[in-house]
Amino acid sequence: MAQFVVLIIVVLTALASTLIGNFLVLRRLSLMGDAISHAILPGIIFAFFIAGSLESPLFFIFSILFAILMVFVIEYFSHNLKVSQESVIGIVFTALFALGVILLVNFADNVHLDQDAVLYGQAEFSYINRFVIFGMDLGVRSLWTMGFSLVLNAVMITLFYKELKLTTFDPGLAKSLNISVRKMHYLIMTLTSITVVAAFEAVGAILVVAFLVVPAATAYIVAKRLGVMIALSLVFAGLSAIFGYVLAINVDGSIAGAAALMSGVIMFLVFGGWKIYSKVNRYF
Amino acid sequence: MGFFSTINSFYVFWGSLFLGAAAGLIGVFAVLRKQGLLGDSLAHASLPGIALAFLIMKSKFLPGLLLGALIFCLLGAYLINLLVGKTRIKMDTAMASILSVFFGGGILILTYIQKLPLASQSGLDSFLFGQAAALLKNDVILIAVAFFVILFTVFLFWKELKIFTFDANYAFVLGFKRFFLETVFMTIFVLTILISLQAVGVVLTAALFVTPAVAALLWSDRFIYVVILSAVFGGFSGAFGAYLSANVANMPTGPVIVLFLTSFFLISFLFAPKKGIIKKYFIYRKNSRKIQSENVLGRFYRDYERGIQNIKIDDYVAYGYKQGILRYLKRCGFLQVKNGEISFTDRGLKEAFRVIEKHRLWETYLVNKLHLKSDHVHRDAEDIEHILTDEVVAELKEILQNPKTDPHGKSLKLN
Repeated sequence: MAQFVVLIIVVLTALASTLIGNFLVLRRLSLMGDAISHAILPGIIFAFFIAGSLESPLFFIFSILFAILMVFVIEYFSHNLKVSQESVIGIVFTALFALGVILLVNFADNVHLDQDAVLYGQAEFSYINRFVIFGMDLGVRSLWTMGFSLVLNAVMITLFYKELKLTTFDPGLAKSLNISVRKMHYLIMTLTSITVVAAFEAVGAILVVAFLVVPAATAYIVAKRLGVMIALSLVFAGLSAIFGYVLAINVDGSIAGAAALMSGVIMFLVFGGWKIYSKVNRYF
Repeated sequence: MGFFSTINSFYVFWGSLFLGAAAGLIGVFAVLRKQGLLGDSLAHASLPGIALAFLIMKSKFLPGLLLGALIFCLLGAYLINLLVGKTRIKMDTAMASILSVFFGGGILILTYIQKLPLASQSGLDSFLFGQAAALLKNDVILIAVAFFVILFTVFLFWKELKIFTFDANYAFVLGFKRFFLETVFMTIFVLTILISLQAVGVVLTAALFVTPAVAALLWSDRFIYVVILSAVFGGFSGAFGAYLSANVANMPTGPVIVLFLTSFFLISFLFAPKKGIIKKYFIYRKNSRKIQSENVLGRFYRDYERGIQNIKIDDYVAYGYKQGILRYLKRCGFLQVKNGEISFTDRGLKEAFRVIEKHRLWETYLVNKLHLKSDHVHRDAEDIEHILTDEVVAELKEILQNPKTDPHGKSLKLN
């Protein structure tokens, strides 16, 4: 039963990240997802000191605020420096991650996180923490947090589907129709931050980074419509999560690592299949 | 033994110094080619190589591990190029994909290794965050050799690499071989990544390349100075970061080096003489004050022409101008205030005429020479009046043969 819960958590994480990841890939913000998931580390530790525990909702809120602050910091520096944005991302996320690691090493006993867990998470044990409100035990916490971010992403993307689509593909037209490009940008960044923070605690950083980008990129190889791309990416994400889980159980290794690896395997299978298909297609 | 408490800390110091300098050197090229984070991707991509090499050798024999890392670095670079070249996927997505997939694979193998009944696997995860303290004499020799190879290569191909970095297409038009230069650059790039893995770790390698380079770019526009400065920032951070890490408990090497680099970056960002943010802020304020006061003078001059010589302070505020600008203009001796009314001094009138003259000359130029309609030129002139220099004004007068009025019939003589 516990194992089944872990699988569900991994699948939920995969779907939530992939959903928002489609827009990151299309808007060339892939590295931003990577950066946020590294740079929130000191934020998570500060949030822990402020909130006093990993269980408190306050912890969750502060971590998200910090992640959004990070986005502003990167944008501030790219605005004021004449180098490409990826270089700025490189400076900011390494600096914050380094700070986070040093804090972690020195206060590890208090924070209940360890260096390795930060990177590859402990999906294996994600079923242990319970979600308790007013003394009522409502079940596994990660199920709630990941379920919440999946539902939130789905609802927001459905509500603002038209606006997101337009600002992604034709910002100029969007502007002339009085749709705020900036607001949509920060909507995406906020959703990304919430997803990353939720997933960070449940399954660690790499799984999020992989699922923010890889399934959406895979779908982008073949899809020609946004709706199709999102649908396909969700299928790829679900499959990667399930196969990754099975692989990890079989070799007794990290679930997050295996799922990330599987998303890559699926990517190159799709790439190969698509190449063959388009070669064959030419003769018919 | 003073500064070096043990012979080991001597090795650590010099090893990290060479390492930081090499990465700083290469970093400038990478950042200018917009490939700053390629180092990050490739470093992450090398992790499964290290893990697999260990699995095969069952020992932490460094050259073997680095060979594994090299193979996966190259594989990662190849796959990134493949994705960008053969699909619609863009560079940033390709880098992020390869980074996370390879790293995930590496973590999977590492966790698998941890559960094997071997004694030698402990310490393998120091490749994640780096452990310069573990550098031995042979590692330092390896790093030093690599550093001099990189230095020599850059020296040898200086001209080629420079032109290739700034204007690749031009370089190829001149007949430099794309594939050859690309290979030379990638070789020294990957070589630097490989030697940095052990000391700084996979996760933070990106900073070694990007941070000193961007910091150095803030100080100078001469390429050679930027490259040298970046290498100095890198070397200094490497050496002292590693030294601190080796001598203070609970200070992992990679993160400490990165924080040193970040301090260099922040200091440069704030205080660099021309491009620092503080200097830029002062330039911005000066400019903004100049433009605002010229606008005030221009407005007053137009009123003056219409016979309004004194303007009430209340009206000045109602025009939307700031009190600070009035104080500034008084300090300059351009305006005077008597009984709550503002008027020009003689100097102020001349200064105001200079502003209006620029405006009207430009309007005349646009109408007479560029044949724009006279009701289309005010906006342009409004911007250019703050920019034109005395030389340009003299030249305009000559081209226009000292006109008496502008296209709207307004006077170009001070009366």
